[in-house]
Amino acid sequence: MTLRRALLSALLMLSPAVAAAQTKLGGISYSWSLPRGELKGFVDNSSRVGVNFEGRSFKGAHFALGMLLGWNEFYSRTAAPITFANGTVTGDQYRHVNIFPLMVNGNLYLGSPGHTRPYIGVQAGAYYTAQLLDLGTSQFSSHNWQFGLAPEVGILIAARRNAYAFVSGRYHRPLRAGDYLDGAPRTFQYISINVGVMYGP
Amino acid sequence: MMRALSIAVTATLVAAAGACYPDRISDQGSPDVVATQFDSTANFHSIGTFGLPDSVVHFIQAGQADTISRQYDAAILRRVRQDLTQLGYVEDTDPIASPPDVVAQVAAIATGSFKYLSYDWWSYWSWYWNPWDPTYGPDWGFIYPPHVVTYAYPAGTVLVAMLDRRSQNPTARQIPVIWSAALVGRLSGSEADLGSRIAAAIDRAFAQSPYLGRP
Repeated sequence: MTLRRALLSALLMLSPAVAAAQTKLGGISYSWSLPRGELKGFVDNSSRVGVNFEGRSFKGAHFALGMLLGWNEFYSRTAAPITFANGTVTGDQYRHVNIFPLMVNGNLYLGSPGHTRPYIGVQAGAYYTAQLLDLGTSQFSSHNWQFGLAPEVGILIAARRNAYAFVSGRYHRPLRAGDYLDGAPRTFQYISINVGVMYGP
Repeated sequence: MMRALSIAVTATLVAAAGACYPDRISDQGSPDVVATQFDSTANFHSIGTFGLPDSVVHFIQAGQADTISRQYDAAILRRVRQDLTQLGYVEDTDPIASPPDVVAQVAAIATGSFKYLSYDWWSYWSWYWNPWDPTYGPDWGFIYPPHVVTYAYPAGTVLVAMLDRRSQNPTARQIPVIWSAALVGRLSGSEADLGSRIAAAIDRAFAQSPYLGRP
């Protein structure tokens, strides 16, 4: 990068007019996730496989509405016993869960447009969860849709003209529902840490 | 930019829908799965004697041939006998003189998937039961405890079922199955150490059933 371009970028980053002009943003993020609760009971491994596609539309200087489509994958191999009311199953297992959040969100941004801006928000929408269990050479699977919420905190960092970086954390909390492999409704919760970029038109 | 984003979304959805399962167990992976079920109302501590039919019955679907080797039958029965004895139960080798409290039936699924919970018990086991108690007959059957998981086990599965004569119901012609173990697909293996793996699986069935045994 030439000195001239670096100076221009710095000026753009400091310009309040830049972010104010970006009323719509679209972006992509890498998502690292940590299972919690009942999901942790099924797959006790953090997830390094995740991605989100997000769009946000500012309504004024501090509030934005948005949408999110995500994918988080959890899996582990274990020989831990599966115990149920009248029995036990032991053997090598492969446990796998794909979760696809399809959410709308509202976000409150602090600070002023064009600067680094912390924000808080909440996602609400549907989770599609595909659960798989390989037990020896037998396979069992379940698929469920359920409503859920995900509070979020993050920070939006102005990088270049029309370009932003962001880091966020979400606590995904589907409401207890569905018919999972044990025949019961479940809530597969997890925390996701997301690092991504957003662009404006 | 929106075009690039659309392509990225589509590519990710296709990849996810493609059901990529990293680190998944291959078909050649370890099939050593042992499932045990029990009747939580049964009193396993008060069992004194057990009967053990001296053959492994092979469940064969009509019109099909038995493809399961009997090479390990004797070893399987020895191991079941050993594990039951170690629990403090005493083998009853003369049921005509004194019927046992429970009978441990050992079977193997020889063909296809077999509906273990609904098979014709008498046609497979009458040779053992009828000589020492002629009141048993084809109108008798099993009764399973509530919440037993219905599952069609694959060929090669070794099954052990413990029938409780003490709580049989002559009026309803039913004998309760108070414990069962399934060594899923175990006899279909071809490993060089198959015999020892079968023995280990039988041991595991008893080990994961801590409610068994005399106090």
